[in-house]
Amino acid sequence: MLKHFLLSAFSHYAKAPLTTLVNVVALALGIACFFGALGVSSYWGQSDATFENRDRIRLITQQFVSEDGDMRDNPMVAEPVAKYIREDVPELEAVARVTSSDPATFLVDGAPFRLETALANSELFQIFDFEFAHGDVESVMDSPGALVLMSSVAKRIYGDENPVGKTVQFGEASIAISAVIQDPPQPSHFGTTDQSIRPFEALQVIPAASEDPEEWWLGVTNFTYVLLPEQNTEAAERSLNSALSDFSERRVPEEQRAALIRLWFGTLTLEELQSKVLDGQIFKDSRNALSVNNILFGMGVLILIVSIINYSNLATAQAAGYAKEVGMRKVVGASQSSIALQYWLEAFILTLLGFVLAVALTVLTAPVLKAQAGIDLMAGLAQNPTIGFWAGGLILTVSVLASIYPVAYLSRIRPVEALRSGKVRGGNRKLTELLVGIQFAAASALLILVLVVGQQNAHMRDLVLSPDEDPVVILEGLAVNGNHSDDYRAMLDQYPSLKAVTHINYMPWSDYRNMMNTSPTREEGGPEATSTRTDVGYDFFDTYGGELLAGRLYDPERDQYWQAYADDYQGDFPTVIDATYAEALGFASPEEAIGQPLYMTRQATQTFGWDPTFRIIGVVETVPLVYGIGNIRSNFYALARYDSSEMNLMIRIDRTRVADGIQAIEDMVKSRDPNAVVNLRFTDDEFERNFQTYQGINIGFMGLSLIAFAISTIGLFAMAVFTTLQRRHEIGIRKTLGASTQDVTWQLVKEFTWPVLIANLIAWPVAYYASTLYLHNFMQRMDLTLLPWIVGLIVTLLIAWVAVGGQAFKAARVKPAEVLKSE
Amino acid sequence: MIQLNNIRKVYATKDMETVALRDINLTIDTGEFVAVMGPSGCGKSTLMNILGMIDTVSEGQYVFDSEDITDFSEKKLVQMRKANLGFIFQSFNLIDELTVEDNVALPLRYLKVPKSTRESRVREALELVGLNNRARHKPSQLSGGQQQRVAVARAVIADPKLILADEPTGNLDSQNGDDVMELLRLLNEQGSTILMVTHSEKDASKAHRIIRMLDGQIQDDGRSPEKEKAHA
Repeated sequence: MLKHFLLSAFSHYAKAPLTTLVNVVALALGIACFFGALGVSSYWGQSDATFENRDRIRLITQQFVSEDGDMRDNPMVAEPVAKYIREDVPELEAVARVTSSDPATFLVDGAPFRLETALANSELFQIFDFEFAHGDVESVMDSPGALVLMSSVAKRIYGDENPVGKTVQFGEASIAISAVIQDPPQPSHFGTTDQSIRPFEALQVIPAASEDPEEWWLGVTNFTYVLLPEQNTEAAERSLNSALSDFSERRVPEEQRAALIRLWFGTLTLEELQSKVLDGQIFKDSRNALSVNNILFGMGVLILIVSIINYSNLATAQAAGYAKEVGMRKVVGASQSSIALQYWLEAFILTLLGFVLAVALTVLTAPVLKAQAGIDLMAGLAQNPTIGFWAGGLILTVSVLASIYPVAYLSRIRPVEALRSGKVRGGNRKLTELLVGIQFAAASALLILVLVVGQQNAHMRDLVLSPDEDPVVILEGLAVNGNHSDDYRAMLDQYPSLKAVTHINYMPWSDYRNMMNTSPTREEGGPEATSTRTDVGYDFFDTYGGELLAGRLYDPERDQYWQAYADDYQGDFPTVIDATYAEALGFASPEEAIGQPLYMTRQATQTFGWDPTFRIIGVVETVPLVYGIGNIRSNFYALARYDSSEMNLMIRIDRTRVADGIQAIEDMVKSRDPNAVVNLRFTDDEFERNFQTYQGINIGFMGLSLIAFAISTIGLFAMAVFTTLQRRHEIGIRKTLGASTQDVTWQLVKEFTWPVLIANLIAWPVAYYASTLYLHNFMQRMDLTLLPWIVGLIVTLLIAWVAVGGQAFKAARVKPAEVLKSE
Repeated sequence: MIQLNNIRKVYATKDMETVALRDINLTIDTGEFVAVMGPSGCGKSTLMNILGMIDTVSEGQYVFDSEDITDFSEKKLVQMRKANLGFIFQSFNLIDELTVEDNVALPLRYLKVPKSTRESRVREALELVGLNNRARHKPSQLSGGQQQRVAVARAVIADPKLILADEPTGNLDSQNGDDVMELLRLLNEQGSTILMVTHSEKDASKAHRIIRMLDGQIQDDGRSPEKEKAHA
């Protein structure tokens, strides 16, 4: 019987080769999208798989909800966490912390090298079994305070030479190199690039016992790892979770907890870390509770559903042509289940062919994904132990789902009707229209998202990138050690290609988060608002931008850095805010804000032990410095200067003399610090680099939208072929009764237009919700307009008309005599 | 009203030519009820299609209402057809998705007749065939005879100059067949010109004139002085 069914299936395919091809291609696209999503998710899930202890390693996380409602869900924690976890859970095998990386300049045989250097305690090497290129764990443990280099860095500095035992100069101190570790194989959260979650080029290792962390719990700057014991692992994990459940109440001083609505601690596995961080990069507000993994998977499933619907519709339309055959089979004894099995088998074979094509598509596109996004899709799929289950399950599930409608339809055919006239309709027309509508709804929603994301990206670009303005460069960590922006400002006359210099406490477009919550009144219940706090030097606005709207800017003749005030200073701190913050605080205009006071909220005052009065001296136009932090869209500029590697020089170069300007910066900096490593980063480049994630999202949506449209369109085209074929007789009658070719064409096109219109109505609210969710991530967000929705509607209609119109016109030209000849 | 002069119709395929009609010369006057009879394959339906302007001649001339339409384009034939002809088919050829009233109204839609006028004329046509109470039904809900009566209503709704009926009782039982033939007779009495293809001598006897065909030719065009006198 199987052989008979197979022969029957292949004869059906041969009778309708176009439809068969459409079905296979559509199924292949859907399956490929699904496996693409699975592969990406698997790839991220393989993160750090080369470390032997991976399954026993946990990362401590710190989450809080602040006064402004911002929720942070961090894989980084405050400095004291490691020390107290060690005390609270003695059964842990090891506890290690790694600080954020800061740029540090080392001299190697007199030559300066700038390395991203993190501080780590020695237990890190108990937790992670790094592969050593030179040295070993003992050499690390035996050399407290020494440097461990990544092999790529060691090669850059020392070539093939073994650097273990050599020393480098850091300021006045000589530091030995105790080991070189191999760059961890990717995917790993360790790495040397900015894209790594925990990047470092060098580690300065200190013994865990000598740690004396600062008791500051609101700055999350450390990765803290724990290693569960090999024996009684589960018990130890329970103990750890129990300790963390009230860790905040037991360990965090109350005055620091007071600044937050809620503070709690948890754990992550290394497997969860990668996707967690990506979620945080894309969804800045953790309250979204969205996961990139889930969204990707959802998209893959959506496209798969579109392709299944496509098959269902076409197969059912095709089945009308088998009515007589099915009728005869029933007459000679075929049962419902036999008919069902036969037509499920047809779906199964096509799904199998689609799967093979999907594999080919995946293999072809995987190198592109690797090159563009660094994701090794094939490795992700190959290393997924459940891939066989997914593949088999998918083929089975898709074939069953795809065949439900056509099988149900064929089962209901009454033999006597089919045999008498051989004419049976190809399925319920309304259901067919609904299924076509669902396909187009998915495609339409994706298209609208593509347009919104593209518009927002363009909006950001327009705001930030300014080819007609002077470029601005950042020199990280250089406003230190006596080399402040004020010192360089005094030298500007000597370098005419440099127009302005200042400093800022973070790299623009990084994931910086430091907020101020203030109010113009001390009264309870008065207006208050939160803003990003940016510490700047004099001439910041002249250097970076931000037109003065009211009042004045910081003036070295009149204003001093906040740090210069005595601890018991009771006077005003001159403050500049932007127009958005002024509005959020309730000022009707920038002018109204001038001279007004701002006070920190009571909780913040308690936490920081500081109750200053900020006096607004100037309001500037709002300029973007970061992507976005939930609802916070403004800047509070503090005139601040402190010796910290966080302080970055910011210099504006004359756009007509950029090459001269770069050289001038090198000369200027080295004139004060000959050992300085001048590593320039243009703010526009920083924007572009960090913007890649959003570009990637847009490209991802665009790709998915194109695939969904491709499936829907070829499905619609094939439906049009079928439907017009089925309705030839009706068309012949209409033309006999006086319909022109135009009348019939328009009628058919109109009938196919309805499901597309309904699809748009379904898609619009979904796309609106998704769009607002996406825009929420940006500080500088565009206003949503009707344009994407209108364009989406026009494009879907045009595509549908093009797909259907040709077939409709062809069918409408039928000669009535040919069709009605049998009369 | 209708003049066919030396009509020839050839169907050509890759391998062969089939002469469906040859040397057809025919005149049909206004108000005539003409039956066309002949064995299967004699060319009756082909003749009907040509007269109904849904097929074209290979050679010869077709004059309709004093207008030579032989070389008319498809577009012009459509215009002529919808303005002047009504059709009744053996298998009814109603559109399943449309209700009875929508089926009947279809020719008026293509004539761009306003809705209010359409509605009143549909009511009249359905009253004529006795199916007013079935206006909202679908064809599948009607018997064969009722479906053919709907087809008759559709055929007459645009007041055509000529009604073409191709085996109108072929799929009906004798009672329903008689009912349909009675309708046709009534229409003819009211002035409609009717051309009917039939296998039934009984049905043919209702006509004024019987044209007999064989092998694509007219053997007897039914015009005899006595019959002409009787018709006049």
